[in-house]
Amino acid sequence: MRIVRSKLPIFFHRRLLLAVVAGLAASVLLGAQLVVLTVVDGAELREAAERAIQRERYLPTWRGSIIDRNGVVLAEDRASWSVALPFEVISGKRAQDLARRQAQIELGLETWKSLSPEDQAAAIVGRVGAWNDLVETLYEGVARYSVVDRTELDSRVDAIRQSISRRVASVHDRQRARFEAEQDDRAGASDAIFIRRPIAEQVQAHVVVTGLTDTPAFDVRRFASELNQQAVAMLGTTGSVQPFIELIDGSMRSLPEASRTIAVDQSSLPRPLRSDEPATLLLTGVADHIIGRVRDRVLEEDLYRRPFHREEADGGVDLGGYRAAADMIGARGVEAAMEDQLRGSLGVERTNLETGEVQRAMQEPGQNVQLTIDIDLQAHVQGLLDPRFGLSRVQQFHAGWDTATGEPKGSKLPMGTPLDGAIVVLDIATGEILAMASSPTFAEGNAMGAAARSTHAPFLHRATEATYPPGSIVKPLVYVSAVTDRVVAVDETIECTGHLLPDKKDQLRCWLYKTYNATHGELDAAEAIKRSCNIYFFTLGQRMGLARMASWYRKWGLGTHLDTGLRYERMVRSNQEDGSKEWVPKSFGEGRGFVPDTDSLDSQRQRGESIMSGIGQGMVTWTPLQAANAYATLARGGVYQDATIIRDPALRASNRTGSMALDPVACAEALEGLKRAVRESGGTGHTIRYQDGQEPIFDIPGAVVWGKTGTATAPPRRVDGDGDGIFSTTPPDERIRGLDHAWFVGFAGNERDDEPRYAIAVLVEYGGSGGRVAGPIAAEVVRALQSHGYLEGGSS
Amino acid sequence: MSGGGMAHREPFRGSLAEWRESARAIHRRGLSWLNAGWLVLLAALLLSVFGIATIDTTQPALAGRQAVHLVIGVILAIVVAIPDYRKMRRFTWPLAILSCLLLFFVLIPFVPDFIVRPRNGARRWISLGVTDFQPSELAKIAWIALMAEWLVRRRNYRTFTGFLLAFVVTLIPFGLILVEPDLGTALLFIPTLLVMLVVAGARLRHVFLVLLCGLALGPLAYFTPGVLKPHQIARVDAIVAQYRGDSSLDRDEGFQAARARLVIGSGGVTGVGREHAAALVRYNRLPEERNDMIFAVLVCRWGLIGGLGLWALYLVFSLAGMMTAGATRDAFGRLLVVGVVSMVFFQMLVNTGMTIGLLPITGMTLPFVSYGGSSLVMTWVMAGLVFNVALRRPRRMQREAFAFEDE
Repeated sequence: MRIVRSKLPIFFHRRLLLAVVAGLAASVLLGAQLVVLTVVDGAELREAAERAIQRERYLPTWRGSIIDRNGVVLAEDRASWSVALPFEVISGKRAQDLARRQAQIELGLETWKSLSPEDQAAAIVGRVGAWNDLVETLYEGVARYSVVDRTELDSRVDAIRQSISRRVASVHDRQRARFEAEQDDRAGASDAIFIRRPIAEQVQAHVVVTGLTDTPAFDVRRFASELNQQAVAMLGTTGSVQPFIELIDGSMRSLPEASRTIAVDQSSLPRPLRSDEPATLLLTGVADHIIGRVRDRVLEEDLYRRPFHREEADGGVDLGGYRAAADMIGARGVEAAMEDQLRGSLGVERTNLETGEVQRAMQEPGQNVQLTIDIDLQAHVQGLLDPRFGLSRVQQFHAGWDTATGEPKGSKLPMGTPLDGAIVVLDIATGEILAMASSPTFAEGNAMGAAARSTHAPFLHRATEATYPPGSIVKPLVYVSAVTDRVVAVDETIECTGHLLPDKKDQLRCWLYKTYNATHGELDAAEAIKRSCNIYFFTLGQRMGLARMASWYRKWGLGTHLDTGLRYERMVRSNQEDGSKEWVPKSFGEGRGFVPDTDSLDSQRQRGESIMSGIGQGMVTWTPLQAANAYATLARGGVYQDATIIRDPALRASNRTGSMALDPVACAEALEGLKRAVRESGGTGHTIRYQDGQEPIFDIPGAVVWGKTGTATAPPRRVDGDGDGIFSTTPPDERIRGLDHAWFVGFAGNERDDEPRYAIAVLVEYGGSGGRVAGPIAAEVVRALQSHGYLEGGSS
Repeated sequence: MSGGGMAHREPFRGSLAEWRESARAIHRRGLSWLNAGWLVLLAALLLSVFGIATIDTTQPALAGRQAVHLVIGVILAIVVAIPDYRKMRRFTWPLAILSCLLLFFVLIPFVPDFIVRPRNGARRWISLGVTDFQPSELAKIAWIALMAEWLVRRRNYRTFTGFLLAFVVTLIPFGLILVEPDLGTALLFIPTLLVMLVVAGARLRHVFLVLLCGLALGPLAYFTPGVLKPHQIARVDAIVAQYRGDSSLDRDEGFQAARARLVIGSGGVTGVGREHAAALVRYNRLPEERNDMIFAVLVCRWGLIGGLGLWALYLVFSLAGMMTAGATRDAFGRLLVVGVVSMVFFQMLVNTGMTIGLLPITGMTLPFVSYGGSSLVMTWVMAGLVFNVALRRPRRMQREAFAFEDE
């Protein structure tokens, strides 16, 4: 201070200095901020600013096709047009406006202006009729050229009208509330009034018809231009009229092979269904459970999983990611599981607005995915499950006739009840799935009423998604496991006394004892498999104990995903322990089945479960695909190789191979049992009995079959009679107890070398007897393999 | 140099101020040609040229017109500089009353739109046919002169009542401009008055009291409903959001500030050059790019160096102005110069401060640089006044003004 005073003796100068110092301090602050902006954040801000000069336009890509093992296209993108109508045409405003314009032209603008509002309104009313007629012509034409029912079109237009008027009302209510709140904030009176401006939807065009191919689309386009010419003529002007119809270019997923007409030979069917005429069936939804579906709406989880705009600092985009707008996404099946393959990525066109320079990165179309299925075989097999064909509806030969009286046995389901089911056909050598059908198909489900839909659950892929108790079909597997574990000798015999526990005749009985009060006596393994003796396998289960049984079941593939190429993960919001919600991956598309966990059961339950699991009952469940896969492993002598539906090994999620180190003699013995079960009299899969005689189930020249029947105790069948989606016990809803799922699992090969080539699994839900219900279907599958050239013999 | 006779004498060794205080200088008659006013004019000229070059970046057509404005401004500055300001002093009061009337005139509701043309809902301009005239520009000069007159005439501003009285007088133009509405310009009067009071020798404790009140009033005005308009609150919210790194307001309330940030940041250290800067400004849709936001364009084109250069010119202008004030002994001249320099400096501070995101957005031009005839010409008139003071020699034996004791 003293120095300042000596240098600046004048008071005023010292005060000036004070002001200057304050000003300099402020300047330093400014300078520092400018350094921060230009140097520290400069690069980042520059990049963001440069982006504004680049205009990016994304070039559409297209989805890869799904093709079958022979190259037949099963799913592909197709050009598709949508017809959209401007909202003012729908609302009638266009007719009003044109009537006004016509009046103005006819009367002259000066005259028009001199008219009173009432006279103007009258002039419009007098002319609007003709314009309404034109709009009527428009609806007629749109319905005619786009091949839509007129009443259907009207109801769609009505729906648009209603939904938009509701939306307009709610938007305006909200805007008004906000406007009034703002007015209250401003002090003093205001003369501002709230104006109802049209919302976006009121000026947009709305789609009324989708999925038009080129030809009808061009018809609609021609019709639209005719309408406009007509309107211009009505106005008597040289001016133009806004288009009445807009055509929107787009693409849709098409399944060219989904609808097929097939002819199936009926000469080899069980006698009551036999006919020399082939059955002609129009199938819908062939392989649609496998192919899956696409949806064109992006959901929150898609944006979470693979967003187009990434949050990271680079601000980049994932050209294969999802945008919040419409985008085609695999929703189920292979479409979902192979989404990343099929999807492709957008191209991008960057225009430098400053220089006009254009850079293009071309789009990468999605890659095709080849499946292992043969679509012809698939269609054939699908037809076998079709209730119209007869094998998949309740028949008297399913229940049989009383041997003593010849009277038909009663059935818990009425004759003719359509049955649901699944078929899997695997190539044993490669693990490739040649056909995998589920009935009803997805397409059939879409056409069903509510009651049928909730009873039949058509959207469930029964071959891979649904899990069922295996029942007796596990018996060969249990035997091989037990021998490998040295619990039973290969050639050991066990006596069937009808019931496992000597002092409890009403528990743990053999099916023969239960139905006919008979016993099998001393049995070796092959005979036990042939006759499906429960006591033999109860005994094995008992000896093994639940822990060992569970571990063997896991080895046979239960409780794990096979990853055949149908499994996909979706992110779902899940409640966390602390009450928050988190995105967690959840698996879809393939069931795992269930193996009891020994830790969760007390020792008594464990003993019971181990005995029951010896015959595939109790808590164990699996999918038909897992059944076929386990049998294929048995046929390969314990070499496992997961079943797959994807042809290219590089695309498979799992290429698990290895050996279970099974006892080879036991495997041979099990195959011998399977052979006898269908080829020898007394085998559970050998004979079908009618009122007046019997015949073998598998009588296929040139082909040989191995097989095991399964009649697995099923949970009650729930019928939603009123279609309300709730299964109650009061009619018309029903809960039918005491039904069994019918299984047949086995192999087919050529008679020439007697080698198993294909593993086949047939499941008929609530069908009853494995031999009588699933067996004839399996026989037809073998014939289908012959007729499509997979096995020798037969006629194609 | 008019002092040709100095050539054979011993050269004067000492500061310019000392030289001007010296008996030798005081005894000279006529104008004092050796003065810091030249630096003021030079800085003003460079700033104007800088401004024209910046306008040329995005609006080449307007750059030419601004050059015409500059010529008019320089001529007017010379005209203002010629008559001795001490003689013009007698017009202070009439000028103040006239400017108040003009300020009042633009507010009269039934004045037709072709005379008072509202823009964006604000009534600030009187249409003169060829150009628009903004009465608040005139009011700035009139008020500075008036306050100088006011503070020279009385000594009571050393008391608290007298100190506050100066603020009460200021309230008249402040209020009239505030209701136009033009909060930014109105707010310039307060710091300018404070600086004038400080150099006039007001008690620093009074000054600090006012500063503290100002600091307290800001939040009070923000949180009391009805004091600030919704858009003003929104602008404060926007700058708070920006500092939090929250970009949610960048599309509406914070749009202008966010765009300015991008454009400024892309300038980097050395700038991007004319063509590219024009493209960046255009496609980033920087609003008001030739008026309020011109500093952003300047930094975009010439970078940090350009920005610092511009500030350096303002510092030269202000320091030279302060030297002019320091060199004169006339109390009125001192306050007039300090007032003018502070006004220009604060306007620059607020404008660049808001452009670089330190202050909320408020409509204010960058003096000498922004496009606009009325603004440029009136700022040159201010520069002319400073030069006028710089030219005058103190009257003989004039008493040292504002000789108070330090606190």
